[in-house]
Amino acid sequence: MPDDADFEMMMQALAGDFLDECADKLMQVEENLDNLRNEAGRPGDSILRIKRDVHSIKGGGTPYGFPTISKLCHGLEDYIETTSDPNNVDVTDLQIFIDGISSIIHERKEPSEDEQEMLLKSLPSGRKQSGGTSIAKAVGLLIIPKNLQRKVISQELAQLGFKVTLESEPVAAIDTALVLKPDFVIVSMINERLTGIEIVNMFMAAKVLSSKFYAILSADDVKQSPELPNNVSLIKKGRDFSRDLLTFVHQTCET
Amino acid sequence: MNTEIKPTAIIIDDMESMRKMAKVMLGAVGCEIIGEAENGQIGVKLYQEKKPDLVLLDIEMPVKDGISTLKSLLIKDPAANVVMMTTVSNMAVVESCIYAGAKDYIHKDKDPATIKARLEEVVGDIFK
Repeated sequence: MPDDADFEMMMQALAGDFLDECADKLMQVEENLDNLRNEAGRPGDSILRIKRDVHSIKGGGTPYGFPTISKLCHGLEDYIETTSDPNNVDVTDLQIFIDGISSIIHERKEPSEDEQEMLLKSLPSGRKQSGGTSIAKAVGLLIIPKNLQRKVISQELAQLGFKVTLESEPVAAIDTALVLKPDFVIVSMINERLTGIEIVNMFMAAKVLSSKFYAILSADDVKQSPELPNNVSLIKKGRDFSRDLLTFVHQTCET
Repeated sequence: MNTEIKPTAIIIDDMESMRKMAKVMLGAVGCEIIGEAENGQIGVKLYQEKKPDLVLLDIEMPVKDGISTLKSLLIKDPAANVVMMTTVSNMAVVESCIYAGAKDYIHKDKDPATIKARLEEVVGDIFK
């Protein structure tokens, strides 16, 4: 049986096919972007096709040695999820994501760590100002299982102008955080494999992430927990949710 | 001569490059690949024709997605061994697939060695 090194070689040999297939998929995406620009067909259908093609590309990025392609695709999915009206997204914004993916595919080279960070931070958020331009005050990472609460928080933050990246799996989240270096991180207390406190402690143990702002999203007053570091905020579900969320994110903007 | 019978497998995924990757991986964990399909509709027909021991099934596909394909396969053969392929952000959907009768799942957006190790574990559990 071939060992892991053989696998890497086999996968490298197939990487060219992956990039060619991505280029074909991107042509379909460009056609759907044109449909949106020209108001041809139903916008919801074009968005759905774009999401499907981008999702297909996303799956192969990491195994074929292009994790930034996967991250850009993930960013585009987040953008659509955090835009309050998916049928009315800004085509110019979508084009920025697609151009980023396209440039990697054409250069056939994974960007350096610095280039990755710059690329990911330059992506638009789902928020629109009255003039139609996206702004991004700060970058937030939300580690929350896929549910209604996640949708509400991400849309609320996007409306406030924050760029939001969504993760539901802690290991994937730390990988994203190490590249993205978000300004703040909001973690659900209840997750599939680790508690919110465990995730926060894991993040804070990494030097590059130790000085970021953290908040736990919980229905209970977890501030009493001895495992919770002092400087972590609590966003309590229920009556005070909006107040807690705003207090926390404003704190990140003030610094 | 090695006379060991290998489990047979088919792959259903809309991305050709992902099918190629799955072929390499399945071959390496001791499976014989006897067919592939680019969507669920073709995949269900292929299953009936080939009767493989294992199906590696993508979740997000055009024409017929992974969940409805899984359900169709299990209606036709309740004993079908179906393993879902997904990205990490799709865990809620994966749970639905497991409840619906999928044997297991693998994350395809990982490095090749991790995918292979996971596939080895999954195939080992099914055919132990």
